[in-house]
Amino acid sequence: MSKRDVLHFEGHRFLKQRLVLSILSQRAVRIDRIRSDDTNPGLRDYEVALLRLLDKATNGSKFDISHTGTSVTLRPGMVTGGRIDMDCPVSRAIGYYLEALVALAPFGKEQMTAVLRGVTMDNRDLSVDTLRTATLVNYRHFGLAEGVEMKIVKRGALPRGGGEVRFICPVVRGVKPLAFTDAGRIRRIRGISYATRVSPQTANRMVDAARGELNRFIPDIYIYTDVYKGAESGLSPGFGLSLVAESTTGALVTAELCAEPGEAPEDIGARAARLLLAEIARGGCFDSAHQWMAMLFMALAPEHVVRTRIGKLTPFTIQYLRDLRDFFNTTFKITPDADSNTVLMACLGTGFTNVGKKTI
Amino acid sequence: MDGKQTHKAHRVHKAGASAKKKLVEKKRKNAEKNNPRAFTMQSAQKADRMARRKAELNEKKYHLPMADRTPTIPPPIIVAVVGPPQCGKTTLIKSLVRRYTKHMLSEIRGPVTIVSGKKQRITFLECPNDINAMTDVAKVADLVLLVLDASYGFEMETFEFLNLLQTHGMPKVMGVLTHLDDFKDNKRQKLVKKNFKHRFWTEVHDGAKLFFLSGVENGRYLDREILNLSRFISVVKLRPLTWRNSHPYMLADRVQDLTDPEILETNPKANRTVALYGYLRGTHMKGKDRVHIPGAGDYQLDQTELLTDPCPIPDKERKRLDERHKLIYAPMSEVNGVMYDKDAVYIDVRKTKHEENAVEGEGEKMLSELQKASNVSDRLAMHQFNLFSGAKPVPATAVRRPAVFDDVELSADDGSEVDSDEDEDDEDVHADSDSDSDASGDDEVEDDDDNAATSSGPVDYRAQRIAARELEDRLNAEKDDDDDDDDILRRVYSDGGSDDDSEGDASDAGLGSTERLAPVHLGTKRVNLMDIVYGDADKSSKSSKSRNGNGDADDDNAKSFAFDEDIDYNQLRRFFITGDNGDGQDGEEKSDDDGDGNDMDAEEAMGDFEDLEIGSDDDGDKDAESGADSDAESAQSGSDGGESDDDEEDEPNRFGLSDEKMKKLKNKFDEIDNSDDDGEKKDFYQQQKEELQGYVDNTRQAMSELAEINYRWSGEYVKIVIEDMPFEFMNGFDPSIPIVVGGIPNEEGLSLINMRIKRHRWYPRILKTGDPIVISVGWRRFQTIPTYYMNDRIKNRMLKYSPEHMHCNAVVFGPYVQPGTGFCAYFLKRAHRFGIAGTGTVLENTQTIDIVKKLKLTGYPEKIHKNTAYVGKMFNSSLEVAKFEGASIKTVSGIRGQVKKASGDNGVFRATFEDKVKMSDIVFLRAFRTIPIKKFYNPITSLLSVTYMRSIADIRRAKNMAVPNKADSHYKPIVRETKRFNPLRIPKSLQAELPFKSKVKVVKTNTKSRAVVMDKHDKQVATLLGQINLLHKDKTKKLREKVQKQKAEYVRKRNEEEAEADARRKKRRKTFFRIEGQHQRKD
Repeated sequence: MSKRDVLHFEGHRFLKQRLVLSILSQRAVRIDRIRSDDTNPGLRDYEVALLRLLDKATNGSKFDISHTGTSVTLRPGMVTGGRIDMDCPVSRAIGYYLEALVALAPFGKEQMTAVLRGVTMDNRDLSVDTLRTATLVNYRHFGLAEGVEMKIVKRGALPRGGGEVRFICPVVRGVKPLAFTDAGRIRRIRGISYATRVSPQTANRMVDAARGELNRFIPDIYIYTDVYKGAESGLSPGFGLSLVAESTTGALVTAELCAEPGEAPEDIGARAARLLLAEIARGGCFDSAHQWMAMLFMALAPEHVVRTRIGKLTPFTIQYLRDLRDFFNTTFKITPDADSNTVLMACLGTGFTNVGKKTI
Repeated sequence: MDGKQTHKAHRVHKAGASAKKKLVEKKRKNAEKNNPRAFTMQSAQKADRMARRKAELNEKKYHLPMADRTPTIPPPIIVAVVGPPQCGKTTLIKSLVRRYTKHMLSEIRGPVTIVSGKKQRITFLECPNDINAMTDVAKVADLVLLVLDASYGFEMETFEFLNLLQTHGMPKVMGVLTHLDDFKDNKRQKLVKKNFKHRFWTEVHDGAKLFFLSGVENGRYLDREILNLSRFISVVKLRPLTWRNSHPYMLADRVQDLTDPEILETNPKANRTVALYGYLRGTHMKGKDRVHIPGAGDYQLDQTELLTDPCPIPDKERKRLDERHKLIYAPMSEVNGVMYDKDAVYIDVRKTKHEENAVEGEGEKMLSELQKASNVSDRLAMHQFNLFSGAKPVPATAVRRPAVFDDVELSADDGSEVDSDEDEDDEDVHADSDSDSDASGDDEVEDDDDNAATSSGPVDYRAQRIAARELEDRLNAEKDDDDDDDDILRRVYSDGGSDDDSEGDASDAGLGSTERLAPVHLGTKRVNLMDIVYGDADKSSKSSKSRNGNGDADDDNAKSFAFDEDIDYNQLRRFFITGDNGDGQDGEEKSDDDGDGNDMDAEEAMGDFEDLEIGSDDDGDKDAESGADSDAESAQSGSDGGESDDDEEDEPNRFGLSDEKMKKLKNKFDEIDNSDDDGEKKDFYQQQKEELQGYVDNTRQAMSELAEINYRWSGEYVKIVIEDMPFEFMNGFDPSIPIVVGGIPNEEGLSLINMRIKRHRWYPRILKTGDPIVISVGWRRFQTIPTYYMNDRIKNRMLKYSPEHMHCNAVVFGPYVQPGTGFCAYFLKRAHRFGIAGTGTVLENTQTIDIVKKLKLTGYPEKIHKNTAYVGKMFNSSLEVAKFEGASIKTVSGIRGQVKKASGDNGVFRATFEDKVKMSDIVFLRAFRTIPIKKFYNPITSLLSVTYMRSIADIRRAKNMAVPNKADSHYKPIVRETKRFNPLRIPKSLQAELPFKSKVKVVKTNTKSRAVVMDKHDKQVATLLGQINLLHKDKTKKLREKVQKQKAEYVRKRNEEEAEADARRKKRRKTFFRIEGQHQRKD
């Protein structure tokens, strides 16, 4: 019998997705040369925290970090779910960790209840609002949405964080095959304008600015103002805007922006709105922040053909597709559609099933 | 009074009101019985019950919907011919092949594919008689022809195979009863047929088809009967089976060694590159996919190549199948004198007719005789294997294992008759075939060959393999030797020409293998995009580094901040429903088109926002969003939160109507909408089925589109190349053993498999925890160490042995298996006539499981205070005690207590009890200890060399070691001292103080001391009574003696009779067993 080979990768980039895919595909992975040329070589604290989170979420996984921290080996175990409680380092937002859980949680042994504490929004990772109003809503295309719940208990802005999110995800046996090629047209825009430890007026100012940009396209706009006070408002002040546009066919397009120190709420509102418009202009059934999710769950589908349409392949998605090929041996058929300036993606599912789920 | 008492007979009224009433009632009842439906509605209750019953019956019919993946040109159906040795499997295949193609195969090696009809092809597969091969065949066969020897009776192989089938998804089964010509007696034949049929029905299902083949003519079964059988085969309806419907698989009908001969020269044990040819079935396959070859292990496919179909269905629609389209493809058997071996092609150059008829000279005769005698299989048949040192030698000829059950009549007398008949007839048959068929010599060779290679029973297949390899070697050697003679086999290609082989094969039809991944230069963007993503130029890992450099600035987050400054706002408008569609249509109109008209707009205006936290969604949405997301949406729309109400207030609808009115209108609209659908409304089951079938149809349509990605689809004839195959695979290659290639998508991780298992009721032993067992599940067969346990609702308690007649759970270590998959367990070394040890289903894959075993710690009180006692001898140190602080303990007499704290360092601890304990009591602590699960996984590599774990009992047997005998473990009679209690003594002072009621009262009487003086009359009476008593005593004494004498006499007589009867019985038994023994020796 031939020995199951270990997949080799290099570099710190795309570490998260490789670890997640390794767990899903049950293939061991070794990642070398992690910032080996850097003045501060090795894994960063958030990457170590991610490893710790994956260790908590799985059973039987073996993580080996080399002495210098420049190499990680993972022999994956099974996703277990259950209660996970973790303080995330503030160097990355909770979105960074939650994205990993979003991919893994439906395929656990039991319902996952994850409580993550840290920074809830920054300009690097998806904010928890977008995760809640778009990412998890996108679950429904894959038959995973039932019983999924996410609650933002506390908001925590940079630099000190102090936010808290509870994510509940039940388990499923498998993914539903996706056949979603009609992007439709945007029929409404919703959003959340959040502010912590600043004047409650800030949120309204952002809403007004955003509406100013968006109103000429569609009247159906409703942006919630969400101001957290007291104990729920975390340790640092901050505000931002998360926008979701929904199309007639249920496609979600998101954009978000979080304020850096010294920025005016009106600027944030207008820029977030323009970001949303740019995202809408790209077209497709999944926006660039959720392309990876569509690709992953398409590869995990039953042995049928699955298709979708996306706007523009981002470099991130391109790498994701390559990694999917390495881990699952799934190759996508990528056809550009010149008419709508979008890309049609089609592949055959691998017939992934959640082997950890019990039967009676 | 004498005689029986007579009563006046009841006279039934033949006229009058009551007679009429009865008549009507009787009529009605009969009518009701004959036509129950007509009377259902007479009683509401009855009708209700009837309806419920019908509904229940209907509900039972439902199966989990499964997509039918049969491609437009389906792969040949695999017809496996299975049966015990010497029951006519080969003859059956030959007869069927002859029926379909007018070819008489001289021997059958490997699968034989034929075109059987305008739209159907069949692959015949003869199942060797060995549990490993049988398991593999059970996993791939679409239709099973169970061949049963009527003259012998049911054999265990049949039942074993049926069990294997049941656990791996039951395909269609047809029985074929052969050797019916052995019965001279017509009546007996009829009875046997009937018995066979009924037993077969109980095993398969009522009404299962059983064919009777009444005899052999010209080395094959009667043409008429075979024709009937073939008709049944051609109309057989195949049900999709879950496992095969979700996995790709291939039955290899040709194997080729592609290894570079140069490598082999330097290292003959180098890993081989092996090409496997066959039809792909199940789902799709692709290069670099992982596969499992049962008996060889897990491999990665190097490439999958599409070849031209060697046995195609005629391309044009025809009324009848033309003779030239009745193709046969059996590369490993010899067809038309051509045979493909693993590294060569052989062509049979037949002798010319006159040469054949030529009178042989004496020398030639002798030579040909010698050739016959040197037949390897003949020699092998005479051989005996010694499996283990000291074991009984096993003859190479097949061992038959009759299946004897209580309900099958097989009395010794009958059996013996039949057997003796059969023996004679067997010889007759052989003699016939010898004289009649052209290739009679081959025929015989093949038969014997079969025996030798596939002998089952106690023959371990390691020995078999060795034997087979030897046989192969010798055969090869012989071939080489005989090359110079005008042998029937002449070697054409040698090892060097392996590459040319494949070409030659493919070019039979003048077509090379088609390359689908040829670069298509269409000048479109499509190719570019695929190249950009998957192009070879930038290998993923390196490219990512080189392109993106290092540093954290541009990191792995999917979020985009791309900011197109030059957004054309007019262009952007078309992305919104309010914008221009480009068709000159207004946005509103557009929305009307795709929604439900006015209603939708209203809903839209109300506006809802998918919000997981608040969870609001309107019902109306579902109607509006017909199409892609409707089902997914339904999951979301659980709660109609108050959110929507708020919205309604915020944004009044554009019709200016009140909300209530809008709702009413909406309801009305919904009603109309629903009523329209009602006509063609499908139930849930139907919907699910259609949805599933829709996916499959979509996939079928997308096949050409995905051709670029080089998928191989079910129904195609493909060549699979595997690069790192151990050399044993080719060395011990035996074409009669089926080679299955099964795809394993995401089934390679190892974990504990939790399964429900039941010992097979025919397996004579119970199963022991820790005894290595072979489990066949999915494609795999692997040896593993099970731990049996049962859940008592609180904990999983280990069982040392599986229960006798109940299910229990078992945990083994092995690769992931889809929960719900059936499995079959057996021991590698057959120890009993029935091999299947247990069956069950997989429940769960898990990494850890808590299975506990009871641990009882005992201790003795050393010092007792009131309710406190110091207990010793339970632990050895205070550290141990510390671990058990707070644990509940109990004495044998039932006093409960708790461990408190260690006292001193020698393991003595303080414990409190609910009552005072005694020094003589024993304190025990009941604990449960999690036992570690042994992680042993050994794939059974029966196609390579097999190394396997033996059970402890086997090792002891092999090493001649006794079972350890612990004196402590013996059950000894319990000797208990009888407790003697001292009498209760109450001090006098205390007694005196007692109340009168409680005082001991002693009443003094003096009857004994009083003298009796009798008068004369009294004296006389006393004397008389004394005398009478004396007489009576004497009489009874005599009587007793007499009775004893009589009894002794009776016992003696009985004993004598008994002894006589015993002797008679003994004699009879002796004669019976003598005859029985003779019969068995004959077998």
